[in-house]
Amino acid sequence: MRVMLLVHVDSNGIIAQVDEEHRARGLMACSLNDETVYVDVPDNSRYDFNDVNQNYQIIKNNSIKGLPVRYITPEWIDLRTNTILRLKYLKELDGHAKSVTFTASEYYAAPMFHGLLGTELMKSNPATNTYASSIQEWAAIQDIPVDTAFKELTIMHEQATGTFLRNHALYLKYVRILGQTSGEENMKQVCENAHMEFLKNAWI
Amino acid sequence: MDMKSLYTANVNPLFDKSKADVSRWASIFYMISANSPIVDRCDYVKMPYNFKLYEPFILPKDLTGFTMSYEDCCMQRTAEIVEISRRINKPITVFYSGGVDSTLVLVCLMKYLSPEEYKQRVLVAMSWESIHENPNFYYDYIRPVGNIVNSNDLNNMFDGSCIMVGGEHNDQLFGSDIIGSIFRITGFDHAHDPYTRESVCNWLGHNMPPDVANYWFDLIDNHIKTQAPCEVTTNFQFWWWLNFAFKWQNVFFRMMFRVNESQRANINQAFVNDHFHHFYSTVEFQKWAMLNPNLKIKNDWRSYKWEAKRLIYEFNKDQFYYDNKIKSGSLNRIFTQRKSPKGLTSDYEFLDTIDPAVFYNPNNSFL
Repeated sequence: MRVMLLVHVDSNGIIAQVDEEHRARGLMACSLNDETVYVDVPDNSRYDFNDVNQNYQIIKNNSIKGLPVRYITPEWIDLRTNTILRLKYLKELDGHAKSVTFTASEYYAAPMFHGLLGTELMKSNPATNTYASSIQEWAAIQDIPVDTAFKELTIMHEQATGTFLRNHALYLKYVRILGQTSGEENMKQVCENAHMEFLKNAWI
Repeated sequence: MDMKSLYTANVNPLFDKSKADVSRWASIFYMISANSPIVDRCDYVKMPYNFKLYEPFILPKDLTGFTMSYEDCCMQRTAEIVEISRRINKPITVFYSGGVDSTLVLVCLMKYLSPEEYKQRVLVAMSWESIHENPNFYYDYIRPVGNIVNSNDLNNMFDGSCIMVGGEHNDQLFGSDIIGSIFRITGFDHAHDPYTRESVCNWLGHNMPPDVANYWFDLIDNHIKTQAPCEVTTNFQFWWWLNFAFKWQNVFFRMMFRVNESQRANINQAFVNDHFHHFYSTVEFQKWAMLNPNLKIKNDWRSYKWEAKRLIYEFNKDQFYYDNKIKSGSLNRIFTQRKSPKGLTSDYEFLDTIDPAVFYNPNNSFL
């Protein structure tokens, strides 16, 4: 089984196991001295890389051994404790963010589609009744006038890009705040604030 | 000197738990959103903060001789909105979610105007969610006209270029979202039973301590007995009255509240009079709501707003929508991740911070 590990560049000590690349990036954004390493471990391995009491190190050929005791300082334990906690709250942050982008994912390839759609819309100009050939085809398949198709696709595009951009800005904001926060209670509060900004402020 | 007062606010900054009256008042916001401050349209319950009752929203109490049907109210309101549009020569932008309220607004405009004038005068501000919520209406009636714009631009539409028309207040006429939440848990069997201290406090008690729940029950029960000019006797009607009498004002202002900062300066009473309307706000609709409890819901939540759905059905014959459409809130999708101020004063000043001391009202009903 291949696992993704966050490793300290000084000691090669394993800080945590991470399940998603963007979360690893989020954790790395909080620290100056870590990197991700992919390692194969046996399926029945007893390693729990997110148990602060189990400390390991990556050595040559990406094999794993116990971390030398000289590295297991209070600072090291503190770094691991906060990183593992941060990972938990990054997952919560992901949940808030995904529940919003869900509404902008009209199509299975939504992010790629919206990139292409933006380009095609820019090639069109309703004021001069000029439309990209792809938009004309879309209108023909949908059996509607091309100007209506343009308006419909514009609404779809503006809503998706607006949603993704706002969501992205908030996500980066709270990843950074989480990265500067220590301790479970404080991180919990950060996530509550994030929930407020991601969703709850809109509740009526 | 007059004290400063608010039309609406996010009440979170006002939660001063050290004051017993504020704390008692604030407990209701565990049940309703902190973005929904309550203002008594009868001016009987005094809040611990100065929320000023918007004058057009004083609750109409003289119901003598009123015989208009819901459809009459709809067509009268349509004529009013169109008249404003013709007078100031600006298009009507309808905020369309696909829900019952905004669908009926479009139905009324389509019925009232010729197809040519409808196309020329009306814009439908919508999202892709609007299509999901009522696909047949979109594909059969909106798309063929093609007069659509992006509703996500809501906060940039306060530039005076159009008359904005929302579908707000229909919920306040018919019932309340809270009713849906309650009966999803308790079942609908007792909805039309007489309300009692026990039935109301059972629900309030989910959100506040028993003594405060009883306090709120006494307050609203007393309000009903002294202020309501109509029958308010059942569990359904109790929660409807709370929505109708107390939440009306915030519902009117909540879209305007989220206007883009650059357009806040455009908003004053004259702007509101001409450019900002909710379809179901009229006195006639309110009187209809007080006199026709039997036309709001039958014996399940699915039948909620059935009179409004019936008018849509008469227009488009969409039996599936009529039989199955269940009320769901949609406005919060447009509000998601949008910056909003903390308060709107009664002189249309937008406040990004609120100092509770400035608005505290010591002569309130929660002492």
